[in-house]
Amino acid sequence: MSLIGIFDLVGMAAFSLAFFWACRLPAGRYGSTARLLLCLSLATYLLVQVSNVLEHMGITDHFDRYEDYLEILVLPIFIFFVFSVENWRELARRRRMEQALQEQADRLAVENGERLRTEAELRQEKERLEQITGMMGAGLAVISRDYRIVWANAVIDEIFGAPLGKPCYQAFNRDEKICADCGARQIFEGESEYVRREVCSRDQEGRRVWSEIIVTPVYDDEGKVSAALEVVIPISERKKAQEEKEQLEAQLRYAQKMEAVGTLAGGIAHDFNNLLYVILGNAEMTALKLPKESGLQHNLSEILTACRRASELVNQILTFSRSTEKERLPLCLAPIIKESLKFLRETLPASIEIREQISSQCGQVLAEVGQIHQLLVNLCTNAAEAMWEKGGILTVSLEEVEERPAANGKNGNWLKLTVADTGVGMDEEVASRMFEPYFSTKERSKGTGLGLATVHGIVETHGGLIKVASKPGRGTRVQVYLPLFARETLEGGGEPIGDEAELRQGEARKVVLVVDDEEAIVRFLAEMLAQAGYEVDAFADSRKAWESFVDKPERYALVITDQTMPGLTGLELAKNILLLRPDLPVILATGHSEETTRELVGEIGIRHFLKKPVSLANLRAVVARVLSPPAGQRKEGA
Amino acid sequence: MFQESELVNLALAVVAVVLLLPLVRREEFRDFFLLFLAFFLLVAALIATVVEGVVLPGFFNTLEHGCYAASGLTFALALRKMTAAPPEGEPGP
Repeated sequence: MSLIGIFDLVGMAAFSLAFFWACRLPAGRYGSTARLLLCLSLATYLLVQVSNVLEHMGITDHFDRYEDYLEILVLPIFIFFVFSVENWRELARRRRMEQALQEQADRLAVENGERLRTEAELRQEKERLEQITGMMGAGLAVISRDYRIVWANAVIDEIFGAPLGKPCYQAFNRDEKICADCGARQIFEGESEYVRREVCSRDQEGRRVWSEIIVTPVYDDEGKVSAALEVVIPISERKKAQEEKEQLEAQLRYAQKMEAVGTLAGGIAHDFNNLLYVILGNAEMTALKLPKESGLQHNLSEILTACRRASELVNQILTFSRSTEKERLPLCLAPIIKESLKFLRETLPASIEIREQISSQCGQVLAEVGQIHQLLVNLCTNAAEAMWEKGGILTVSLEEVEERPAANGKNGNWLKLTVADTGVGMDEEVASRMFEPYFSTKERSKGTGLGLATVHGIVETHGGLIKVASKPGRGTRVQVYLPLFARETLEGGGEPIGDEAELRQGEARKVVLVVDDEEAIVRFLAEMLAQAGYEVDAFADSRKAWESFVDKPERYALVITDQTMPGLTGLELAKNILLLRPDLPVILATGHSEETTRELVGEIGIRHFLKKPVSLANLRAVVARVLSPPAGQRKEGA
Repeated sequence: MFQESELVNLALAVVAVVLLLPLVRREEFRDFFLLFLAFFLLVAALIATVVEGVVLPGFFNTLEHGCYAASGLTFALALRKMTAAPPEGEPGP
């Protein structure tokens, strides 16, 4: 086939396809007339091509004569097609619009991307700001002019619980109206541009929260106050520490006052004991001199009873003012508790009955006397306060038990001290906190909240345990377990009393050196010892007594000296005497001296320690015992 | 020699070119460039038809048929594009 034949075949195929696509043109877009004209022109050329192909293939040239006419038709038809397309302009406009829309969409996409980036940056900035403001430890809140919280940081959320949108007085104070001293109001009304003060508000659980707040204005573009910025710095801990400091200071002042009272009481007790000593001694001597059937014996007996009672009271005062004795010793608690209860009886109202169930056969505990007193007094005072209004029964019992008082406690022998009352009792919450320092259900002025905390501390330091049982309206029972130190119980324990020690008249002419700065006591002792058959050198000045002793140290068989004296104290005098005569018995008598303990007296070598006032019989017995040579020596002497 | 019908056709073609050429430059007809190209190839074929009667009859006859074939292919391509990609929102063919 020739090249022209190939061109004709290609042309025929191409025009066939073109005709096919032309028939499928959307009429709505180009107009049905245009489509028809285009189809006609293409069909014409298709026919021309078919004619050419038939001619080249030698089939027929019949159509060749029509070919030129057909071609003449084509061009006008095509021109008509072009001009009949109804909406060229519309198409162009639409294309322009499409382009414009596409550009707009692209621009929007770019802008949207920028907006998204900006939003992400803002979000990050906000998160960073919230993180920073949250880490500041201070709350930040922006309050609008209608007193609503429009922004708050995490600290405010944490304290006041999502207050956004709520009125500030409601969120911060659980109140329904604007606070009288509202800082935001002062800012809005132009009264101030900076408000700073401490406020007490309520947190989301209604608890009191102390804060220091700083309020400053927030201005809008026109320079007007549009909102208030409130900085809330929590200071509850600081306040609590401050209160605790004040309480500690009060406690310190109280302790100092008690120390001063103790010192004063000690001084008074010394003088008072000296007076009692004289009264007691003279009364006893008078009683001895009077016939037994004399009517005055009853009066003297009353004087002696009153003196002994007064002596006990002085001893109690001394016990409670004692502050230096910190050493723990094996103690039998029964007499200490009895003594404490005697004192408590004087101070508690009569409507409270005290019942004692104290076993005197209890073993000893390693304890400090003052702390045991304090423990019992604190427990009993607390129990009594629970019965203050209606009265009741305060039961104090002491017994030795063999048990395991707590799950973590050791099994063994314990001394159980129980203080029970029939007062108002406690619920579980109060009972669980009763030993906390500064926890008190009483008014602030009536209690420091340290009493039971002190009890707890004392029991802990003594290796003991506390058990509490209480029911509201039924009373409370506190059981204190203290570990036993030894099984031995105290036997006797007091000073030897009169009749068991008879004065030996055979030893009567021995010389006794008596020293006391109170002349009445010196006279009384001298008379008492003279009556007993001793020769007495009595001195009201310790330095003169020392001079006399130095002159004739071998003259004396016994020295009885007071402790508290001007010049030489009793201890100093005894030390000096014992340096010259280590074998000489010395009796030290004292009304009260914090420096004097049995241990110290024993270390110096003093034979006996007497606490004033001493009864005549007691003194005579002590003198007789001290002057009696040991059994071995008596045998050798005989 | 050339025939009368061929001269008439050429005259018509010249008129058509004069009428259509300014349109081709216009912005709204830009998308129909292939359609116009196909038309101008037809015109070229007509010119070759006339010229073959004067000089180089073999060459111009071949050129005439080649232009027809090229015109047919260009028409097919242009119309395929016009039917295949209708504007958004309009139904396709």
